[in-house]
Amino acid sequence: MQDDRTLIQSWQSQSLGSTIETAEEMLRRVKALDRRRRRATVDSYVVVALVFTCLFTLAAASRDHFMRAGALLALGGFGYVTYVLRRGRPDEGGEPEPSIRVYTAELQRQLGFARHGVWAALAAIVPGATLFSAGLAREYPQAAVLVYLQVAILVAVAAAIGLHSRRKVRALRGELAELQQLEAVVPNAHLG
Amino acid sequence: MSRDELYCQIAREFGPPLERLARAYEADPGLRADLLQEIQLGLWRSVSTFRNQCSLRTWVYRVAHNIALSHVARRQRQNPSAMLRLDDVEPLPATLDVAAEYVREELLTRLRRLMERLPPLDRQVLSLYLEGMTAEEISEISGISPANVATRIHRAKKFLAGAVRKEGEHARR
Repeated sequence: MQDDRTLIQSWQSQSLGSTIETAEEMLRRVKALDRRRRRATVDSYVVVALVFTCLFTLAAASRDHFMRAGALLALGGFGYVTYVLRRGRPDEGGEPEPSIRVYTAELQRQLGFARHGVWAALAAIVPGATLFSAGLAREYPQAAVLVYLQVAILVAVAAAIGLHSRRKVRALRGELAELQQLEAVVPNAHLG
Repeated sequence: MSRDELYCQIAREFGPPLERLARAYEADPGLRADLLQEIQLGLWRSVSTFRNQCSLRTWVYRVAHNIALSHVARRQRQNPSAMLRLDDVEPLPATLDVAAEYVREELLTRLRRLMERLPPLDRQVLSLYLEGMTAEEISEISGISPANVATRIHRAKKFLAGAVRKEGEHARR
Protein backbone atom coordinates (compact mmCIF):
# COMPACT_ATOMS: atom_id res chain seq x y z
CA MET A 1 0.00 0.00 0.00
CA GLN A 2 2.88 2.32 0.92
CA ASP A 3 4.53 1.40 -2.40
CA ASP A 4 1.32 2.25 -4.26
CA ARG A 5 1.02 5.64 -2.63
CA THR A 6 4.69 6.46 -3.30
CA LEU A 7 4.31 5.53 -6.93
CA ILE A 8 1.10 7.49 -7.41
CA GLN A 9 2.45 10.52 -5.53
CA SER A 10 5.63 10.50 -7.62
CA TRP A 11 3.63 10.35 -10.83
CA GLN A 12 1.17 13.06 -9.82
CA SER A 13 3.78 15.46 -8.47
CA GLN A 14 6.09 15.26 -11.49
CA SER A 15 7.10 18.51 -13.07
CA LEU A 16 6.09 18.73 -16.71
CA GLY A 17 7.73 22.08 -17.36
CA SER A 18 4.61 23.61 -18.85
CA THR A 19 3.30 27.09 -18.09
CA ILE A 20 0.41 27.17 -15.65
CA GLU A 21 -2.75 28.58 -17.20
CA THR A 22 -6.03 29.41 -15.55
CA ALA A 23 -9.20 27.75 -16.83
CA GLU A 24 -10.26 31.05 -18.40
CA GLU A 25 -6.93 31.38 -20.24
CA MET A 26 -7.28 27.82 -21.50
CA LEU A 27 -10.81 28.57 -22.68
CA ARG A 28 -9.62 31.67 -24.57
CA ARG A 29 -6.78 29.74 -26.19
CA VAL A 30 -8.92 26.80 -27.23
CA LYS A 31 -11.62 29.11 -28.63
CA ALA A 32 -9.00 30.97 -30.68
CA LEU A 33 -7.68 27.66 -32.01
CA ASP A 34 -11.19 26.50 -32.84
CA ARG A 35 -11.85 29.78 -34.70
CA ARG A 36 -8.60 29.39 -36.68
CA ARG A 37 -9.52 25.85 -37.71
CA ARG A 38 -13.05 26.84 -38.67
CA ARG A 39 -11.79 29.87 -40.61
CA ALA A 40 -9.92 27.52 -42.92
CA THR A 41 -13.25 25.85 -43.77
CA VAL A 42 -14.94 29.22 -44.34
CA ASP A 43 -12.03 30.29 -46.57
CA SER A 44 -12.47 27.17 -48.70
CA TYR A 45 -16.18 28.01 -49.15
CA VAL A 46 -15.24 31.54 -50.25
CA VAL A 47 -12.80 30.09 -52.82
CA VAL A 48 -15.52 27.73 -54.12
CA ALA A 49 -17.99 30.64 -54.43
CA LEU A 50 -15.43 32.79 -56.29
CA VAL A 51 -14.54 29.98 -58.71
CA PHE A 52 -18.23 29.33 -59.40
CA THR A 53 -18.91 33.03 -60.01
CA CYS A 54 -15.87 33.31 -62.25
CA LEU A 55 -16.79 30.25 -64.35
CA PHE A 56 -20.42 31.33 -64.63
CA THR A 57 -19.43 34.83 -65.74
CA LEU A 58 -17.03 33.40 -68.33
CA ALA A 59 -19.70 31.04 -69.65
CA ALA A 60 -22.22 33.87 -69.91
CA ALA A 61 -19.83 36.41 -71.46
CA SER A 62 -18.08 34.18 -74.01
CA ARG A 63 -18.96 34.44 -77.67
CA ASP A 64 -17.00 31.35 -78.67
CA HIS A 65 -18.96 28.08 -78.40
CA PHE A 66 -15.90 26.14 -77.21
CA MET A 67 -15.24 28.67 -74.45
CA ARG A 68 -18.87 28.65 -73.35
CA ALA A 69 -19.14 24.84 -73.39
CA GLY A 70 -15.75 24.51 -71.64
CA ALA A 71 -16.75 26.94 -68.87
CA LEU A 72 -20.06 25.11 -68.34
CA LEU A 73 -18.30 21.72 -68.28
CA ALA A 74 -15.70 23.02 -65.81
CA LEU A 75 -18.50 24.49 -63.69
CA GLY A 76 -20.18 21.06 -63.54
CA GLY A 77 -16.87 19.36 -62.85
CA PHE A 78 -16.02 21.76 -60.07
CA GLY A 79 -19.47 21.25 -58.52
CA TYR A 80 -18.90 17.49 -58.63
CA VAL A 81 -15.49 17.84 -56.95
CA THR A 82 -16.97 20.03 -54.19
CA TYR A 83 -19.68 17.41 -53.62
CA VAL A 84 -17.17 14.53 -53.52
CA LEU A 85 -14.94 16.36 -51.05
CA ARG A 86 -17.86 17.10 -48.70
CA ARG A 87 -19.59 13.72 -49.03
CA GLY A 88 -19.54 11.42 -46.01
CA ARG A 89 -17.69 13.73 -43.64
CA PRO A 90 -18.00 12.27 -40.13
CA ASP A 91 -19.01 15.64 -38.68
CA GLU A 92 -22.05 15.99 -40.93
CA GLY A 93 -24.97 16.76 -38.65
CA GLY A 94 -22.99 18.06 -35.68
CA GLU A 95 -19.61 17.73 -34.01
CA PRO A 96 -18.99 14.07 -33.07
CA GLU A 97 -17.33 13.09 -29.81
CA PRO A 98 -13.70 12.26 -30.55
CA SER A 99 -13.15 8.52 -30.69
CA ILE A 100 -11.01 6.13 -32.65
CA ARG A 101 -14.07 5.10 -34.65
CA VAL A 102 -14.75 8.70 -35.74
CA TYR A 103 -11.09 9.21 -36.64
CA THR A 104 -11.04 5.89 -38.56
CA ALA A 105 -14.17 6.93 -40.49
CA GLU A 106 -12.50 10.22 -41.48
CA LEU A 107 -9.35 8.40 -42.64
CA GLN A 108 -11.45 5.91 -44.62
CA ARG A 109 -13.22 8.81 -46.34
CA GLN A 110 -9.84 10.36 -47.20
CA LEU A 111 -8.63 6.96 -48.45
CA GLY A 112 -11.71 6.58 -50.67
CA PHE A 113 -11.04 9.99 -52.21
CA ALA A 114 -7.31 9.35 -52.66
CA ARG A 115 -7.99 5.96 -54.33
CA HIS A 116 -10.79 6.89 -56.73
CA GLY A 117 -11.94 10.44 -56.11
CA VAL A 118 -8.75 12.19 -57.23
CA TRP A 119 -8.88 10.68 -60.72
CA ALA A 120 -12.63 11.24 -60.98
CA ALA A 121 -12.12 14.87 -59.93
CA LEU A 122 -9.38 15.38 -62.50
CA ALA A 123 -11.52 13.70 -65.17
CA ALA A 124 -14.36 16.06 -64.26
CA ILE A 125 -12.33 19.27 -64.45
CA VAL A 126 -9.62 18.74 -67.08
CA PRO A 127 -11.88 18.28 -70.20
CA GLY A 128 -13.84 21.46 -69.47
CA ALA A 129 -10.67 23.43 -68.79
CA THR A 130 -9.07 22.09 -72.00
CA LEU A 131 -12.13 22.89 -74.10
CA PHE A 132 -12.27 26.36 -72.60
CA SER A 133 -8.58 26.90 -73.38
CA ALA A 134 -9.09 25.74 -76.97
CA GLY A 135 -11.90 28.27 -77.34
CA LEU A 136 -9.71 30.96 -75.79
CA ALA A 137 -6.90 30.20 -78.23
CA ARG A 138 -9.37 30.40 -81.13
CA GLU A 139 -10.77 33.70 -79.87
CA TYR A 140 -7.32 35.23 -79.31
CA PRO A 141 -4.88 33.60 -81.81
CA GLN A 142 -2.10 35.99 -80.78
CA ALA A 143 -2.16 34.46 -77.26
CA ALA A 144 -2.52 30.85 -78.44
CA VAL A 145 1.02 29.80 -77.46
CA LEU A 146 0.51 31.09 -73.94
CA VAL A 147 -2.87 29.36 -73.65
CA TYR A 148 -1.49 26.00 -74.84
CA LEU A 149 1.41 26.37 -72.44
CA GLN A 150 -1.14 26.82 -69.64
CA VAL A 151 -2.95 23.66 -70.77
CA ALA A 152 0.33 21.74 -70.70
CA ILE A 153 1.01 22.99 -67.17
CA LEU A 154 -2.54 22.00 -66.13
CA VAL A 155 -2.05 18.47 -67.45
CA ALA A 156 1.34 18.18 -65.71
CA VAL A 157 -0.15 19.38 -62.40
CA ALA A 158 -3.03 16.90 -62.80
CA ALA A 159 -0.55 14.05 -63.34
CA ALA A 160 1.47 15.15 -60.28
CA ILE A 161 -1.68 15.22 -58.15
CA GLY A 162 -2.57 11.73 -59.37
CA LEU A 163 0.87 10.39 -58.53
CA HIS A 164 0.88 12.07 -55.11
CA SER A 165 -2.46 10.45 -54.32
CA ARG A 166 -0.84 6.99 -54.67
CA ARG A 167 1.65 7.89 -51.95
CA LYS A 168 -1.17 9.24 -49.83
CA VAL A 169 -3.08 5.96 -50.27
CA ARG A 170 -0.10 4.00 -48.90
CA ALA A 171 0.23 6.33 -45.89
CA LEU A 172 -3.50 6.22 -45.11
CA ARG A 173 -3.61 2.43 -45.37
CA GLY A 174 -0.73 2.16 -42.88
CA GLU A 175 -2.43 4.46 -40.39
CA LEU A 176 -5.78 2.68 -40.79
CA ALA A 177 -4.12 -0.68 -40.11
CA GLU A 178 -2.69 0.75 -36.86
CA LEU A 179 -6.09 2.11 -35.87
CA GLN A 180 -7.88 -1.14 -36.65
CA GLN A 181 -5.43 -3.00 -34.43
CA LEU A 182 -6.15 -0.49 -31.69
CA GLU A 183 -9.91 -0.85 -32.11
CA ALA A 184 -9.50 -4.60 -31.76
CA VAL A 185 -7.70 -4.36 -28.41
CA VAL A 186 -9.21 -1.24 -26.81
CA PRO A 187 -12.85 -2.07 -26.02
CA ASN A 188 -14.05 1.54 -25.57
CA ALA A 189 -12.26 2.90 -28.63
CA HIS A 190 -15.60 3.67 -30.28
CA LEU A 191 -16.87 5.77 -27.38
CA GLY A 192 -16.26 9.45 -26.84
CA MET B 1 -24.43 24.97 -17.02
CA SER B 2 -23.21 26.68 -20.21
CA ARG B 3 -20.65 25.17 -22.58
CA ASP B 4 -18.01 27.67 -21.45
CA GLU B 5 -18.65 26.97 -17.77
CA LEU B 6 -18.48 23.22 -18.29
CA TYR B 7 -15.23 23.52 -20.23
CA CYS B 8 -13.75 25.76 -17.51
CA GLN B 9 -14.74 23.18 -14.91
CA ILE B 10 -12.97 20.49 -16.96
CA ALA B 11 -9.90 22.73 -17.38
CA ARG B 12 -9.75 23.43 -13.63
CA GLU B 13 -10.30 19.84 -12.50
CA PHE B 14 -8.41 17.97 -15.18
CA GLY B 15 -5.72 20.38 -16.44
CA PRO B 16 -2.70 18.74 -14.75
CA PRO B 17 -4.03 15.13 -15.10
CA LEU B 18 -4.48 15.70 -18.84
CA GLU B 19 -0.90 16.98 -19.07
CA ARG B 20 0.28 13.80 -17.36
CA LEU B 21 -1.89 11.75 -19.71
CA ALA B 22 -0.23 13.45 -22.69
CA ARG B 23 3.15 12.69 -21.08
CA ALA B 24 2.22 9.02 -20.84
CA TYR B 25 1.50 8.91 -24.58
CA GLU B 26 4.13 11.25 -26.06
CA ALA B 27 7.74 11.71 -24.97
CA ASP B 28 8.69 14.47 -27.44
CA PRO B 29 7.88 17.85 -25.81
CA GLY B 30 6.84 19.55 -29.07
CA LEU B 31 4.57 16.72 -30.16
CA ARG B 32 3.26 16.45 -26.59
CA ALA B 33 2.18 20.11 -26.70
CA ASP B 34 0.38 19.39 -30.00
CA LEU B 35 -1.30 16.32 -28.50
CA LEU B 36 -2.42 18.28 -25.44
CA GLN B 37 -3.81 20.98 -27.71
CA GLU B 38 -5.74 18.38 -29.72
CA ILE B 39 -7.15 16.93 -26.50
CA GLN B 40 -8.23 20.36 -25.26
CA LEU B 41 -9.77 21.20 -28.63
CA GLY B 42 -11.53 17.81 -28.80
CA LEU B 43 -12.99 18.35 -25.34
CA TRP B 44 -14.11 21.90 -26.15
CA ARG B 45 -15.74 20.91 -29.44
CA SER B 46 -17.61 17.95 -28.00
CA VAL B 47 -18.34 19.16 -24.47
CA SER B 48 -21.91 20.09 -25.49
CA THR B 49 -22.54 16.42 -26.31
CA PHE B 50 -21.84 15.33 -22.73
CA ARG B 51 -25.16 13.87 -21.53
CA ASN B 52 -24.45 12.79 -17.94
CA GLN B 53 -24.65 9.13 -18.98
CA CYS B 54 -21.41 8.61 -17.09
CA SER B 55 -19.45 10.82 -14.70
CA LEU B 56 -17.70 13.87 -16.14
CA ARG B 57 -14.36 12.37 -15.12
CA THR B 58 -15.04 9.12 -17.01
CA TRP B 59 -16.13 11.06 -20.11
CA VAL B 60 -13.13 13.41 -20.06
CA TYR B 61 -10.64 10.56 -19.69
CA ARG B 62 -12.34 8.46 -22.37
CA VAL B 63 -12.29 11.31 -24.90
CA ALA B 64 -8.70 12.23 -23.99
CA HIS B 65 -7.43 8.65 -24.15
CA ASN B 66 -9.09 8.05 -27.51
CA ILE B 67 -7.50 11.20 -28.97
CA ALA B 68 -4.15 10.08 -27.53
CA LEU B 69 -4.60 6.58 -28.99
CA SER B 70 -5.24 8.07 -32.45
CA HIS B 71 -2.04 10.06 -31.97
CA VAL B 72 -0.15 6.86 -31.09
CA ALA B 73 -1.45 5.15 -34.24
CA ARG B 74 -0.26 8.04 -36.39
CA ARG B 75 3.15 8.11 -34.68
CA GLN B 76 3.51 4.34 -34.86
CA ARG B 77 3.00 4.49 -38.63
CA GLN B 78 5.50 7.33 -39.07
CA ASN B 79 8.05 5.88 -36.70
CA PRO B 80 7.40 2.17 -36.05
CA SER B 81 8.85 0.82 -32.82
CA ALA B 82 8.42 -2.50 -31.07
CA MET B 83 6.00 -2.45 -28.15
CA LEU B 84 6.59 -4.34 -24.96
CA ARG B 85 3.93 -6.38 -23.15
CA LEU B 86 3.83 -6.06 -19.38
CA ASP B 87 4.14 -9.86 -19.25
CA ASP B 88 7.54 -9.62 -20.87
CA VAL B 89 9.21 -6.99 -18.67
CA GLU B 90 11.61 -7.91 -15.89
CA PRO B 91 11.09 -6.26 -12.46
CA LEU B 92 13.41 -3.31 -11.87
CA PRO B 93 16.44 -4.13 -9.72
CA ALA B 94 16.48 -2.25 -6.38
CA THR B 95 20.11 -1.23 -6.55
CA LEU B 96 19.94 2.55 -6.50
CA ASP B 97 21.95 4.11 -3.69
CA VAL B 98 21.75 7.86 -4.01
CA ALA B 99 19.70 10.76 -2.63
CA ALA B 100 15.93 10.26 -2.34
CA GLU B 101 15.14 13.02 -4.81
CA TYR B 102 17.38 11.43 -7.38
CA VAL B 103 15.71 8.07 -6.79
CA ARG B 104 12.30 9.66 -7.29
CA GLU B 105 13.47 11.20 -10.57
CA GLU B 106 14.98 7.89 -11.59
CA LEU B 107 11.71 6.14 -10.81
CA LEU B 108 9.77 8.66 -12.90
CA THR B 109 12.23 8.36 -15.77
CA ARG B 110 11.89 4.59 -15.77
CA LEU B 111 8.14 4.84 -15.48
CA ARG B 112 7.98 7.20 -18.48
CA ARG B 113 10.28 4.96 -20.51
CA LEU B 114 8.11 1.98 -19.68
CA MET B 115 4.98 3.92 -20.68
CA GLU B 116 6.50 4.83 -24.03
CA ARG B 117 7.08 1.17 -24.85
CA LEU B 118 3.80 -0.27 -23.63
CA PRO B 119 0.98 -1.22 -25.98
CA PRO B 120 -1.89 1.30 -25.91
CA LEU B 121 -4.24 -0.61 -23.63
CA ASP B 122 -1.57 -1.25 -20.97
CA ARG B 123 -0.55 2.40 -21.25
CA GLN B 124 -4.15 3.48 -20.75
CA VAL B 125 -4.61 1.25 -17.69
CA LEU B 126 -1.31 2.21 -16.07
CA SER B 127 -1.77 5.97 -16.58
CA LEU B 128 -5.29 5.81 -15.09
CA TYR B 129 -4.00 3.76 -12.16
CA LEU B 130 -1.33 6.40 -11.54
CA GLU B 131 -4.08 9.02 -11.44
CA GLY B 132 -5.39 7.15 -8.40
CA MET B 133 -8.36 5.46 -10.05
CA THR B 134 -9.87 2.19 -8.85
CA ALA B 135 -10.09 -0.90 -11.06
CA GLU B 136 -13.85 -0.26 -11.46
CA GLU B 137 -13.28 3.32 -12.67
CA ILE B 138 -10.54 2.20 -15.07
CA SER B 139 -12.84 -0.53 -16.32
CA GLU B 140 -15.58 2.03 -17.06
CA ILE B 141 -13.18 4.23 -19.06
CA SER B 142 -11.28 1.54 -20.94
CA GLY B 143 -14.08 -0.99 -21.40
CA ILE B 144 -12.12 -4.00 -20.13
CA SER B 145 -13.31 -6.01 -17.12
CA PRO B 146 -12.26 -4.97 -13.59
CA ALA B 147 -10.53 -8.36 -13.17
CA ASN B 148 -8.50 -7.77 -16.34
CA VAL B 149 -7.65 -4.26 -15.13
CA ALA B 150 -6.51 -5.67 -11.77
CA THR B 151 -4.26 -8.22 -13.53
CA ARG B 152 -2.63 -5.53 -15.65
CA ILE B 153 -2.10 -3.26 -12.65
CA HIS B 154 -0.58 -6.15 -10.71
CA ARG B 155 1.92 -6.78 -13.52
CA ALA B 156 2.83 -3.08 -13.70
CA LYS B 157 3.29 -2.88 -9.93
CA LYS B 158 5.49 -5.95 -9.93
CA PHE B 159 7.70 -4.30 -12.52
CA LEU B 160 8.00 -1.07 -10.56
CA ALA B 161 8.15 -2.55 -7.06
CA GLY B 162 11.93 -2.65 -6.74
CA ALA B 163 12.53 1.01 -7.41
CA VAL B 164 9.61 2.11 -5.23
CA ARG B 165 10.89 0.05 -2.26
CA LYS B 166 14.28 1.64 -2.57
CA GLU B 167 12.77 5.12 -2.55
CA GLY B 168 10.80 4.23 0.61
CA GLU B 169 14.04 3.20 2.34
CA HIS B 170 15.65 6.53 1.45
CA ALA B 171 12.62 8.43 2.75
CA ARG B 172 12.88 6.66 6.13
CA ARG B 173 16.61 7.43 6.56
